[in-house]
Amino acid sequence: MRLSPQILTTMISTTEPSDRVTIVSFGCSVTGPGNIKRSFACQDAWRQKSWRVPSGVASAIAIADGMGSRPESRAGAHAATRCALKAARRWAEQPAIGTDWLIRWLEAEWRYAIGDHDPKECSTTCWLIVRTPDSGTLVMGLGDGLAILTGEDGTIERLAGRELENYANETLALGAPHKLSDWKVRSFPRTKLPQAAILTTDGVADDILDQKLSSFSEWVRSTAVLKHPGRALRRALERWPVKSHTDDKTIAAIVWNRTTNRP
Amino acid sequence: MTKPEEFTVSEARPLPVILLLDSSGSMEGDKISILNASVREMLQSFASEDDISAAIHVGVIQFGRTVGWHQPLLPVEDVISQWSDLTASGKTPLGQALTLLRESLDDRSIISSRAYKPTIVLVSDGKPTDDWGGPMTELLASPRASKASRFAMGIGADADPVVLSQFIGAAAASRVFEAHEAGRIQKFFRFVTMSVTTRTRSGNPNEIVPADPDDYDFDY
Repeated sequence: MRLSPQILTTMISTTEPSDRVTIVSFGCSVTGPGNIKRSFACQDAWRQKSWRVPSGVASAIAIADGMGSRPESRAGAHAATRCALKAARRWAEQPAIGTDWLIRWLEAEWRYAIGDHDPKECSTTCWLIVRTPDSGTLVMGLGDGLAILTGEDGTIERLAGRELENYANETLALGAPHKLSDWKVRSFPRTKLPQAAILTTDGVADDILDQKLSSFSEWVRSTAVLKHPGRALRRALERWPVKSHTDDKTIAAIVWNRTTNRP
Repeated sequence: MTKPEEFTVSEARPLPVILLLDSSGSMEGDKISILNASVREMLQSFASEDDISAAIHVGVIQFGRTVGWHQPLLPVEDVISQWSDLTASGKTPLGQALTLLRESLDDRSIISSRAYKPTIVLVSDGKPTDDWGGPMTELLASPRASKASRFAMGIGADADPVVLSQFIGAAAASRVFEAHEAGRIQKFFRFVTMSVTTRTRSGNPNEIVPADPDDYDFDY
């Protein structure tokens, strides 16, 4: 059975200290031709959340790519995004505790969320970006995928997940043997408000030219100004221009737009 | 507004097929002729595949009078357009070929992390004439090489079964194929062709599902 792509769009306007910023978070997952051919549902998932904190608004996005050969990987991926945001919210209340605790909470929540299923059958990658006005921006991920942070001056920070020795579709994952240190984690200071934070699963990440990351980021940011950015992403992912592509595809983004009419 | 065509690759994910072919003097005559014809037939079969989910890239490392890339790893259509037959002369420096193979597999500018697991095929009719033990150990210990789908064929009674068995190790369908007559070379290559094309037609080309060798009337 082919399931319809999941589309969610949320727009939140708020004010960060000393600046007026509109936060737009959105994303989309589409079933890849490989899974359509095999009559499998999309194994990717994404989720976003924004919530008020005393100093403004915190935002987080999460994506997950269930390992295609595992029977419950779709459920594992959806659980991973849900648990990542739950852990992020808990962590955002006390970021000084450190990111190790965020990872531990996420993994424990995920094991609880998959219930009686064998974790191996639910294996999935998991990536998370969370930003609060107090703690800055945190990017972390386990497994293949890509995180891109575009700074205020347009500089690109890239965090890629695939291990050097791996080929396509080989990845570390929740539900597969890994260590705490296998999580890739980077923090960016609160004083530097990015223009955008973007997560993609490998179905997108592997097809983006390294030297064109800024063009990709620009495209995602230009999508954010549309009335229905999630739908625009879906249209683009369903018309993905790469020859013979097979994978499910997910993009999730948070775009911070500064207003320009300040006194 | 930027379009995805402007920041994405144009090629499908590559599925590399690397042939390590013995071009030593003992291959002269029918063996090298049939080997060349079998490779050409395999290339045509790859090129005629449609409805595929990967771009088959083929490269040939020869070991004989010289060791090196007889044919660099390229999309199969390009390989066909520039193919030249191997000629047989010299000794059997397999160790050097294994080192070149390992270095190439570890070099992500040659085989990117975007590629599917490679298929590697070793064909030889004799015993190595250089130190092959160390290079073989290093190859099999290499994380990238050890994940490849590996096939081996020994041609004639002088082929070294120990070397060929070590090469395929615990890989899927790990049997050394033996060709006691030159005509079997062609059948072996048809089997390898079937294994590769089965992967390219599947939803996940990384899943290595070999064709059934019993369909091809082999000696084991």
